[in-house]
Amino acid sequence: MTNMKWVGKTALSGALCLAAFSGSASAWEPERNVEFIVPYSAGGGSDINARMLVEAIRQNDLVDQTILVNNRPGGSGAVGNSFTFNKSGDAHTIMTFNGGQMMSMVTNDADVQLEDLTPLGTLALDTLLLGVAADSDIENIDELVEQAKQDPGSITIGGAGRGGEDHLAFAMLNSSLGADFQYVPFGGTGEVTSALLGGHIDAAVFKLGSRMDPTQVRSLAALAEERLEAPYDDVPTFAELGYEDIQLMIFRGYAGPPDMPAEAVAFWEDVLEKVSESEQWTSGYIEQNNLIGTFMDAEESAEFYSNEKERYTEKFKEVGIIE
Amino acid sequence: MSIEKSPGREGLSWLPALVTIGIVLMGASWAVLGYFKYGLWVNNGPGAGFFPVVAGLGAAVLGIYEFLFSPVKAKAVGTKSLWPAVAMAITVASIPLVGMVLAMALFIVLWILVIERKTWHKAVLTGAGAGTGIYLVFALWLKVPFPQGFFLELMR
Amino acid sequence: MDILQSLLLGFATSLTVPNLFAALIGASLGIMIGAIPGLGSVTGVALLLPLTFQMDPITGIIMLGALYYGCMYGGSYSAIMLNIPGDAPAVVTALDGYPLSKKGEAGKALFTANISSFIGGTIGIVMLTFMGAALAKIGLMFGPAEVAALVVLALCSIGWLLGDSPKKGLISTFVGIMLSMVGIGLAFGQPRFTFDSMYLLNGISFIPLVIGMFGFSQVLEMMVNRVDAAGLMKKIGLRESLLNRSEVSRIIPVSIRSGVLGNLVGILPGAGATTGSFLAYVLERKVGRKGDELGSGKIEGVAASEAGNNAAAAGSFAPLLSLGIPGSGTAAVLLGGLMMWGVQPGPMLFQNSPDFVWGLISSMYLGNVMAVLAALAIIPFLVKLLRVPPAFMIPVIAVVCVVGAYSVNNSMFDVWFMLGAGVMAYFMNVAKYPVAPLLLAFVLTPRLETSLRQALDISRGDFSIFFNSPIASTLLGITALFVVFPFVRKLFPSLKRKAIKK
Repeated sequence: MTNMKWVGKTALSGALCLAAFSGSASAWEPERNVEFIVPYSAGGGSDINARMLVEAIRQNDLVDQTILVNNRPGGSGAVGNSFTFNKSGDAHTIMTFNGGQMMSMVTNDADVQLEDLTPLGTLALDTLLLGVAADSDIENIDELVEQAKQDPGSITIGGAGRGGEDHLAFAMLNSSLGADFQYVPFGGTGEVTSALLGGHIDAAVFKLGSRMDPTQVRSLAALAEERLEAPYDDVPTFAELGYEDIQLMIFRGYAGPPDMPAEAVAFWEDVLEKVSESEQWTSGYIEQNNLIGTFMDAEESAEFYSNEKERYTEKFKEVGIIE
Repeated sequence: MSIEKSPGREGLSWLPALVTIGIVLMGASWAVLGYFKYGLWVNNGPGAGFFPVVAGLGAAVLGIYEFLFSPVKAKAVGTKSLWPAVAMAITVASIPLVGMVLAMALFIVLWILVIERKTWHKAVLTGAGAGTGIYLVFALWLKVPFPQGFFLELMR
Repeated sequence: MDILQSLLLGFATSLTVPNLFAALIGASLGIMIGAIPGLGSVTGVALLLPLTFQMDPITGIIMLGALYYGCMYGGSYSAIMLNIPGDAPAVVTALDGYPLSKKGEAGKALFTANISSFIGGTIGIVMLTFMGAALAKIGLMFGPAEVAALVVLALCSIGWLLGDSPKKGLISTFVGIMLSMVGIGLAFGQPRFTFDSMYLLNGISFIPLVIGMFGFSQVLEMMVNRVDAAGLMKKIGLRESLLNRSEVSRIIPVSIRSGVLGNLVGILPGAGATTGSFLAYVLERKVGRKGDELGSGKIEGVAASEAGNNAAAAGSFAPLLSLGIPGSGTAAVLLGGLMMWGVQPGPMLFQNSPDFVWGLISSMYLGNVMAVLAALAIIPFLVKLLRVPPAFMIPVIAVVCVVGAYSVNNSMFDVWFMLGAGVMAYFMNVAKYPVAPLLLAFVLTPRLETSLRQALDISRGDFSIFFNSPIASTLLGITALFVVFPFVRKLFPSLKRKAIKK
């Protein structure tokens, strides 16, 4: 039955049809409860992602066994990563894996690295924008750069955390815009917004997924690969403005323990692809969280992650976060 | 040093001094690490070592003063008060083997039987009741992923 | 009165039988989750959130609102009865709540907590209803410099809690600061004092620390000091637990004062309910009629803390609703929920979905009433629980500590850490080092470090940022005049006296 549905769906999605899986999809199936590791606390972005994925899998009958979400927060993801790492070869353990998680692996020089895990697939992308308060007199990037050049260090750019996505985006701006900015880390996007609207900082980087209100914050440019959809469709990308280096797509993917059997990887890859095409996922998760829907299979994900890891490392070295 | 004598409180009268020494050592190491490793003052402001140095020095200096000049009018601690800690440490160490819920229930049963010397049915009733409660509320309702224990893992 | 009309409209949409039922269930679940050490409103709301997706959005938000309120009520119960604060603000509640329990007045303490929570919460919600947008704007005036000044005030106010041995209290405070420095600080991004353990990278987890330092050390204390339990053993009926008229009139002004202050603090970005309840407590200590006796088991102390933190919780909704900025961890989780229902919080929210906003606000009134009703029904049973003899209490509390510490992060490391913290706190108790200043310093210092660093990053190292801001300079002035000066005066005579004695 599920196979029939799948054939119908893939026929619709045309180009995404990956014939290679159809053979292996039925080769392996979970025989007991599946443990779904979330290396962050309940209620956070990864947790919502995991719970929505489980919900979409359940509503579409994609996995016969129960999937139990298991929050293992701590060490900026390191605790969850090593929990998964210790399940080496287990086909019944999967984990959320996102850009920030990989960045903290890099900046903290963690024991468990990308190479120690088995990427399974990627279902969503997020990106960042640089914005100023709506009542700011800075209208575009050039004006911001101009001001920073006149008085180096006078322009403060806020972001959530240090050594994470926002900080990395800042590092890219700082090294490619040719001006000296001052980064101010805050406890979360909420605090960044407060400081921006209160006029305590000049500009801020924030994630697309945090849904900054265009009436409060004027976005100057996006770090996206291509133009974003409304209401951010009038925001140019940095590439359009001539800064091709300033580009950052944060992935929300999944990974398994090391040495996960190939049949199991194929199974999860297949489940993820079906989820990415389901109504629950696209409207219930992607749209509601203002993310960019995508599907990358295990191999594509692995390649994407390792390319990104190289870029992260390079940029963090440039700003001196790592040696 | 004067010690309040009360049943179960004898012994370990040197403990308060030990605590103060511990705090002084902690303060000193925080201050040293803070100053040399993390940095007291960076970019015209307090660095990562600023608060550790201030608090560490404060604790160390006041601690030394306290150790030298303050009479410790402490209630002495009986070794008996450490029983729960030791018993619980053994129980927690057994969790990977028997699992959280069972270990906790066994702790209650054994404690009431062996330490408190109550009847075995009171012990079993309390242990079973608490175990069931923990299972229902934490494991079943709140879906807390407790360690299942080695034996249950084997059975799976 | 446009607002009043909208509010009535909100009540019209929210007062239906299924909604009332949802509020009652939410409030009861919340009280349970809040009362369980290790679980707080963030976990509660996060756990219930997926369940509410199947509901009508208004019913869903009413249930979550009621759950949130229930958690705030429940958090004080374990603090009062077992000396195990369920969350950070409840540390302040335990200061007077547990001594009351020891005196056999747990019932009174619980009722006080409820009534003052209700008053504080109501003040918070009323202020939110009528001045929400204006308050949120005031909150925006608090940048890093102003927040740093506020936290300095709070941190220095710990001096007032130190009691008869200020030096030992000060040492405790320093230990708290040292412990709070473990892990990667937000301001610097470098791991400190982690001893290469990934479990310490994000710092010491607060709840296991509190459970150990208050709860487990209590178990150790009970072993040798079962006399203390005699107060708990005293037969308390419902009648003795009820507050008499003069007691009610004692706590009402306290609750109102604390409610207003707590609400204002709650609005500030990232200041949090702990700062709210703590400053309310400190205010009571300064201006209250029995201020000096606070800490020895006075209902005024419980009232100040509880009214303060409930009002702060309501206050944290002001920036959420009018600006779309979550003011607390729970508000952030709720924000996720709002977005799931397709509601976009922000300045346009009041115009775009008025029925939803006013439904939410009316649900807070509803949740608060439901929570107080459910709580009042539960108290008589709770009071009975306290009569369980120590022989059974000791092992059960020990087990609750372990399970609670595990459940915060699903981590065995936290369990071991909790046990260690318990033994350490017990030893500190023996050596007469107070534990409460340690925990408060632990909560407040990282906040100060972050804000201080942010302010100086913004001003490029120029300290005048603190004096050019009228808010920050006023707060610092208050700190110097009312907190530091009296404390130094208190510290030095005592030093002299002791030196002479020697």
